[in-house]
Amino acid sequence: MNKFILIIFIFLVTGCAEQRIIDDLALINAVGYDLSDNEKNPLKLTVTFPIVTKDGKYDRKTIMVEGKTSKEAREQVRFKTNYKLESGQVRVSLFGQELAREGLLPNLHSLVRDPSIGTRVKLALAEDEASDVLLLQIKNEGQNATYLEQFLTKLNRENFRTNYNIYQFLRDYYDEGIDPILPVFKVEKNNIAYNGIGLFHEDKLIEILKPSEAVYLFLFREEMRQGVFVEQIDVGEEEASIMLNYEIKNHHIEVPSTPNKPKEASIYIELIGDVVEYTGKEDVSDSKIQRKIETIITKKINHEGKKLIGKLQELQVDPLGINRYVRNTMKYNEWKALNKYQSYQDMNINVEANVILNSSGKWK
Amino acid sequence: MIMQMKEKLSPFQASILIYLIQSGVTLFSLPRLVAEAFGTNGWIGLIIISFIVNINLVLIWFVFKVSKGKSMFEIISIFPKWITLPFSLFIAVVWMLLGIMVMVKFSMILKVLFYNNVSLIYFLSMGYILTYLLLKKDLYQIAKSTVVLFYFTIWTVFLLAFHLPEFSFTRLTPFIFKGETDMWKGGLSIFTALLGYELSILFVHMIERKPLRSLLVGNSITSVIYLGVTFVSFGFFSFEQLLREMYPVVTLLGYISFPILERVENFTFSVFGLKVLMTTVMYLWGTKELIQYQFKRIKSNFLVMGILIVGFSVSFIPKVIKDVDQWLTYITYSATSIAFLLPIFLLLTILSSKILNRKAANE
Amino acid sequence: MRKDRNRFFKDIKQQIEQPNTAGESILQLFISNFNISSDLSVTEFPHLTVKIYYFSYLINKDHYEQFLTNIRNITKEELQSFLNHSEFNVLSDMNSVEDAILSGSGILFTEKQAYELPFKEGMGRSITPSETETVILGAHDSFVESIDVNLSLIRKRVMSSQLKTIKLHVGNKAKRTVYLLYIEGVASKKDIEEIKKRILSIKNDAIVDTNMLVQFIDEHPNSPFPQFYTTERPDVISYKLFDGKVVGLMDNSPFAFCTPVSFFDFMESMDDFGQRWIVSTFIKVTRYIAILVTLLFTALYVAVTTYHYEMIPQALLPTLLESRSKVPFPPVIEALFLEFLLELLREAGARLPTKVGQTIGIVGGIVIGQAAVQAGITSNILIIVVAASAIASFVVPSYLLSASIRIVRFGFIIISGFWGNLGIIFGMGILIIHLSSLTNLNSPYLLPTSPMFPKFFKYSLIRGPFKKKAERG
Repeated sequence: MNKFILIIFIFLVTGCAEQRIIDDLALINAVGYDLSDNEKNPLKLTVTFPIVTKDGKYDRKTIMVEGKTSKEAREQVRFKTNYKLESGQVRVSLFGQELAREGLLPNLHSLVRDPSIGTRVKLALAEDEASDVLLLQIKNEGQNATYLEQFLTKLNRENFRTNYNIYQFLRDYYDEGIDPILPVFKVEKNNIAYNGIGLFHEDKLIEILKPSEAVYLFLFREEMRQGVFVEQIDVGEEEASIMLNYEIKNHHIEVPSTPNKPKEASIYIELIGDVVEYTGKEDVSDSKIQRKIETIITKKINHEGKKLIGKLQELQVDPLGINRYVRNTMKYNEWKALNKYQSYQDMNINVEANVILNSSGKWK
Repeated sequence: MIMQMKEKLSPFQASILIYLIQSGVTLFSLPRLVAEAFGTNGWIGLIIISFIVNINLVLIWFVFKVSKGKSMFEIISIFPKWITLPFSLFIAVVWMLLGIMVMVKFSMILKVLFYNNVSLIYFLSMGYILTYLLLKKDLYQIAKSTVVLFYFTIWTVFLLAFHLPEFSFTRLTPFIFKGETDMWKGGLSIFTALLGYELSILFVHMIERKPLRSLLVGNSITSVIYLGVTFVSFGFFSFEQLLREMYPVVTLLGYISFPILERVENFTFSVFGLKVLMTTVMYLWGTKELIQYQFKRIKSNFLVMGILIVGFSVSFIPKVIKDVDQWLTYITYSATSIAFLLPIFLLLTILSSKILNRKAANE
Repeated sequence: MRKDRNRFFKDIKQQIEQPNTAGESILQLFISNFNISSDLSVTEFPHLTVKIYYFSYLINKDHYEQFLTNIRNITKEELQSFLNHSEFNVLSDMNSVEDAILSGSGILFTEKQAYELPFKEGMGRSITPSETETVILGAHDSFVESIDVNLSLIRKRVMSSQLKTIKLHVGNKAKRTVYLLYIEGVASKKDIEEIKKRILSIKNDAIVDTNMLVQFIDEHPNSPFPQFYTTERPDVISYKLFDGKVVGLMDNSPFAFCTPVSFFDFMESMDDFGQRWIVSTFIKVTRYIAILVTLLFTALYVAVTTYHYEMIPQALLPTLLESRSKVPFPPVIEALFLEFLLELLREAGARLPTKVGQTIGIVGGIVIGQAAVQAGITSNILIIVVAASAIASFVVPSYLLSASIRIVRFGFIIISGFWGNLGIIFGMGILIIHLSSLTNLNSPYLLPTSPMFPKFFKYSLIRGPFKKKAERG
């Protein structure tokens, strides 16, 4: 008897939670933030979400508004669509270059404060305006948001390791030992293409690295365990092009604890590669030639690496996280007192690579 | 295959009971609290606090041993009822408020994070219905449900494996206890995360065998889980980020994604609700036992309904999370002092009664 | 027919207090009472003043004829000694006469005494494989309606002198025979006494089947979960006997019940013991997963599409949106509608005669499913979900438990329609609390998980390897 009363009571008491049935929702899958020319409304917000057309086909809709802040612009978007907007399925968040140079933090904070947005939202930069990227209607390619997300996942898997989601960005932003990076997309003709890496000083974009330079960056980032290395090398009289599938066997950043400034750091990497393409005339399977090529590649990597790192130091960006290792050698008070970027700039960073060729593929 | 059924708690059941009482709503913000209290590598502080809890548990076991298996009520029956009345009322009120406020806080966090348009009354009603279903039974029956609930909730621990790829030791920094720390007050608030074991004073005499081991195992389960979560958080988030995340464990949960299902933090958070439910149920059970001891004439059913009605009305007094947190601070301070003082007091009672008896025997 | 019998029993009740000494007065009573029944046959030998009453369809004709030929040639003086030397029981009161003739014996009335002629006909169904519980690797015989045949099936398997039976009668006026079986030394005496007490206290007469009987003797009549394990298979019963359980048989019912049981007993099938332990552990684990699937899958679909859209992975989103776009109802209504339709189909398939029943399967599965999607009443993902949970519900070996789980499933769908994930957890909480508090004969329903007896996990949760040493004495 008791149980029956209880069950009736349960049914009386359970009202409805607010229903969010998916057919009535506009599930935003990508947002773009730009600076607009409007002074009163400095932020341009672009949202795109999928809809199902009358024929039952899956299509998308993009809306662009200008507002004061990201959430305020969001409220304006609400008035422009018949569906109920929900951010829970946001996959990608794009930032225009101008906005990124001013600083991403305020917008990121509004993204992270919202409990319905997950922390796995991928972040990326747009070379010009994020709205261009999102507004582009590529025929037969479906949703831009899924395209971008897939692109980013692919980049991650292809070991460009540029996959950055909100959690990772904020983590590296707040960590004084490393700076975050983001991939850059650009609109070209009828396609969205990846065009380099954006380097950040704290949360402000400083410079965009071209893809060719970015390759060296990835060699030194420790998350990259495998990759593809394509370069022109000087073998003897002519230039030959070589492509390696490499695997990083050993990655080491050492900062010897010297009490005097400037600090020193050394980056050691050891690569083992399989030759996949070689346009030179020599017989790449001969061990003497291999050793010669190894030395040449090593020298090249050291040289380019040093150049790249010098550039990073000048720009005061630390995507390799060298400061983390500096932190490991110091006491807390020292670390607190240190001017991190200045000391990073003054540091003497060596690159020591060691390239070993494993095989020449299936052909001798 | 005959299995003997006795009306005693097996040691495993008691351990699980303690784990479920301790594990509650503080877990969600625990890594942040530890970072705020102890600074970098603060998880070490957690080990120290767990150790303090162990000491307290030894005290409780000591009471049991010295009194040769008597229950707490038998020990305090030496005093006449009118002396124990104010104390038991105080303890009963503290425990009842603690149980209720824990549930209110959980409901509020649930509302803020996932169901912002639903009024609190629905969550609280659901919680109280489940509480009533459990409270009207005796401890042995409650313990039976707890074992099943334990199996139901323990798998969430294994979800931590998803975060290991993002874990990095360098993020832990080599500094220990640095940063703006607030060791005493912060440490106390972390201690309250492990609170709950003091209810074992009421059932330590019902444990079949090896009571000390069972109590310590229960606390260890909780501590190991807390430690694991905190340690992973310290390596997963950078330190400053951790200080700013309101509910780091929820973010951790939100980071997990399966190929068929994502964002399971919603589901796992609700599963945690069952653990919070056990905390509330056991505290209210403690209240019921105390009041029943003082006023033997009240029927158990009336008592349970009375406690629930009072609790229901009290849960509406705090309106926002800040209020609840303030209530909880005072209540947990009282509960902590009860946790330490009660076994000491009981020990003194036993020892002095022994001395008095010996004197009487000698004369 | 039944009304006649009821009236007959009422009259008998009134006569029971009168002392019956002489056979003659019994005969008078007998004639006056049974006169109403037209199916009672009588053979008279006036020169011997012997009357034999019997129900012609209950008695074994051949034996009876043989007996008659013996009797025909006897003189009156030899009759008494013949009867004394024979092994026929003397019946001294109306109760035993009534019992005897109703169970198929004939009654021989002389002037002084009433004798029982036990020429029962063992009519009934022959032993055929069970239709409700099929097993791939195992014996295929199953119980029939005759309690003697059933007893013989059990005795053949449990060839032990320790197997004891207690014969009980249930009911007030229409007595049904119930046999309680147990193996002495393994079963607990308290359990036996308790079951005996409960069965004897049943006052209802209209119990026709064991499944009805067990509902009179359980402790939690309001729970949807079965508390006695009933089965048609003698190999299962003999296994349970060795386990120390008390088994009950009722006549005219092919089901036997055993007690005390736990939830995990319902998840066992005799197939598990025939397979190797790794294989059958895997199958057992699949069954537990199937229970979870059948309880939660549809509820989870409803919760995700109604409240928690963020849980949908990116790849599934287009399909889900497209399929839901055509449906005018909220997901709860859709799900309830489809589940209800499935229940109707299932029930119709069970009640229809076999020849027509097969068409329902085809019609239901293919046509209705497809048509519903095309008419826009349901979405095709939901059809998959509902079909998966329906299939999973049949994985449970015990029909009783799978029926209970189906009912509970509806509760979950409704509550997830109100509350989403929180509702599912809330329902789970209520379910767990309810299951943990069910007991039968002091034995908790969720043994051995609560309380904990880890040693026995390997018998109930998985199927552990058989020890080569003998474990049961």
